[in-house]
Amino acid sequence: MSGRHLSSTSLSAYVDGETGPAEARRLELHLAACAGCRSRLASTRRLAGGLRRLAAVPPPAELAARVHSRIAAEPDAPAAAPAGPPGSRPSLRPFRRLPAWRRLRAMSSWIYWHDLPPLRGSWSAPAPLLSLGLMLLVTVLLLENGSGAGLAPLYPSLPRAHPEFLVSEVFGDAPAVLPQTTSEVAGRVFVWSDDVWVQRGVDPGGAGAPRAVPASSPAGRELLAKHADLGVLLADGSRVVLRYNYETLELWNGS
Amino acid sequence: MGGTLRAALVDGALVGGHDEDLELARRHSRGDPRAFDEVYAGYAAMVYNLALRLSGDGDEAADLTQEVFLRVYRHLGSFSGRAALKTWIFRVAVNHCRERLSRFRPLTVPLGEEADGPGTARVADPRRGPEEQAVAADLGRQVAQGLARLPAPFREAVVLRDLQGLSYQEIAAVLGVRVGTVRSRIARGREQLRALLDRRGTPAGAPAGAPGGHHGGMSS
Repeated sequence: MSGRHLSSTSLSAYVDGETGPAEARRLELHLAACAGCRSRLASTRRLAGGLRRLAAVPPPAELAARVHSRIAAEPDAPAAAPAGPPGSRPSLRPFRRLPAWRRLRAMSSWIYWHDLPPLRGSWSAPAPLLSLGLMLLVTVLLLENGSGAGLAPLYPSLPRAHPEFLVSEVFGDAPAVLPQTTSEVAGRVFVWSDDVWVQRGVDPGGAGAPRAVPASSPAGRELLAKHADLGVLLADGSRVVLRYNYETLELWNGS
Repeated sequence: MGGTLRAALVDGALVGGHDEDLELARRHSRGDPRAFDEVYAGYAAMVYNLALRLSGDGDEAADLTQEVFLRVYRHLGSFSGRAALKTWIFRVAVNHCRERLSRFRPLTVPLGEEADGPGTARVADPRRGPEEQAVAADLGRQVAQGLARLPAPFREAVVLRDLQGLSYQEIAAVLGVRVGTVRSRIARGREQLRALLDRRGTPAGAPAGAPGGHHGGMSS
């Protein structure tokens, strides 16, 4: 065996062919010398293979008719304005003719549709806040400026070529660091970092890896009994890294 | 310029030009009914299977598919061609499933208690004998049930990868997260699924006797 064991993330990505050449070489060097990691690799392959072999289920025969009859009941033709050539800017004129409350509604729905994941219960928290902030800002502008023309100078690129990625377009010049999402639980502040809640001030990659504590283990149960609100952080399937009794722990949903 | 979010969304979505997809959207905007028919024919099975694996229920999956295509119908005109239409439809579908499933019920089907139905998967291999197929069906059912018990973020990532065959970059574009997050969600989803299967006596998640070094490859 050479060095520490490979992480399950590396093994999983390797099985999927999603590692770069340098990383793959590093993994292969380790695998050549480590029977334990070879066995984990084989197990990951079997699992991924088993999942891929699940049969695709054909949709029910009547589904197409259901969809078509539902669409036939739609009051209008496609709601979106006819698309212009790539890069062109759709006209805002019909929009400006609407009363303020309908403009607001239309705008909400536009943002809804062009920024799908963050507004639909995304598991990464900062983006919905950005969207909400943007919506409020636009609302204020619309209410203050009856003509709606205030949109143009502030968001010159708003409805341009690639509207489904609105957040990336509008915030293209925003600082790379998004606002941190924090939560105060059990008297500690936790910061959302990708998939993990990390107690502020704790370095999960610091000296010595955190000790993994499954929520259903005796230690996990004890911790959750003492600080029941930690369960709130675990509810989304995430892990929580925290200091407890002078030790860095990684509490996670599992056994 | 361009934050990490921008990188995640834009890089993940750029998978070449999508002129045909764009043309389809334009035809739809011009009122050509065949355009939507083509979209439905091309993606109905994909959306239904995604909804089936995310919801774990055949009837729910049918309802979800219908609603997803209603949304696609209404908003296809706003498709810009930056991402593939497939990615765009996956996004609509995942979002709709999230909304519906979180609103109506958490997935709490205990392992082994789900009845047979469209949600219970089979492992397809017509070359097997009836007995072998029955074993495979049982293992497939356990895998499908285990999948339904994963936390939603992990289930989405694993389904998009292993059942829908998307690359990590495509999944990042669909879910609006970084590729690194996709890597970790897939790994953790598989880890948890393996633990669930091990508990059920399906050693190390070895459904249907899938051969070990079958795919993935020791590529360098």
